[in-house]
Amino acid sequence: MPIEPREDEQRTRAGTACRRAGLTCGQVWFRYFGNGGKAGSFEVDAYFNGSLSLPPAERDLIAHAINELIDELPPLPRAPYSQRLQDRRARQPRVTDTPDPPTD
Amino acid sequence: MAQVPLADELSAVFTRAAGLLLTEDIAGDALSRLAEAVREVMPDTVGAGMSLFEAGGRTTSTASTRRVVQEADRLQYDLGEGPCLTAWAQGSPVRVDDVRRETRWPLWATAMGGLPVRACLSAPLLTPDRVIGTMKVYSSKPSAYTADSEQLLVRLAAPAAVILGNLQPRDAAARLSEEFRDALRRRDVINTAKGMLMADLGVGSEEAMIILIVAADGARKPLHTVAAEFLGEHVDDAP
Repeated sequence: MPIEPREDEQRTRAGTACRRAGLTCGQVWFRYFGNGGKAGSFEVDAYFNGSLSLPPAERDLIAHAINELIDELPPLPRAPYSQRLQDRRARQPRVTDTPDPPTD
Repeated sequence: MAQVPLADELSAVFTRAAGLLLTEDIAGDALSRLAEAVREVMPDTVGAGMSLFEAGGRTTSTASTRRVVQEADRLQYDLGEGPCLTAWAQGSPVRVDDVRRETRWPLWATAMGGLPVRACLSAPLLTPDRVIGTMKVYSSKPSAYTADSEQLLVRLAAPAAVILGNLQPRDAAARLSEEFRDALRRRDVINTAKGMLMADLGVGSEEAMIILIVAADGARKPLHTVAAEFLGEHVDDAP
């Protein structure tokens, strides 16, 4: 079956989303399987590689599996503020670290 | 495309997908033998061992040939300093020619005074993406280890890192089957909801699945949550 342009875009952008989120094909397949996906892991791998065409519902299940996994990723660490760091340092002095330069 | 993958194929595929290669029991035995071999090939060595570290420097697992290794290691972790922690942190081998003249880790060097150990060598266990631990040897002779011994230990550490890098905790198999049962439960809920939708709306299997996916995506919820909610509503609607 020839791969239509829409499927091609869906597959390419799904692959990009996986790479950006650091998801493996195995992780995606397992979630997809748990969500009722019918294709085997080799078939999902082949779909990502562009060598196998899947029906729209299976493609959407793969997309949703990826999106579920992305939504579960921990948020990026935020930068701390000086006041909070000072409060904490006053409470628990650290022994093994090299001393910080004077702040005043 | 098979309707439901065969159970055997499924477990094999899942094992591969989850990266399960070795259990702690199998690897533990291999590591003990390796530690013994390292002790034998490194000249003047009283004990050899390996430690695994988690992020933050906490040790998780060790294989060692002598009590003196465990004791010398424990001192490092308790004091938060020592050659193994440094080798782990910097990802390159660290050599101690004489513990009694050591100045880089004063707390550790002082505490080591009670042990029959004078020299030490520690090499990082390197996997392609990180340092997972260290392999170390201890000697009762000062200056027992040279640049050549350093090279030898680095070479011995390479296969140990491969084993340890692929190690799965003892409960991995149990956890695996729990995850697998969860997946089957979710799959069941979703398929039941799909069947209800097909009957309610008179649509086909694909169409029913797409309706569920659109609902889940719109609510930004997992598919099985939306399916369970739909089933709950469905039960409530019943007279």
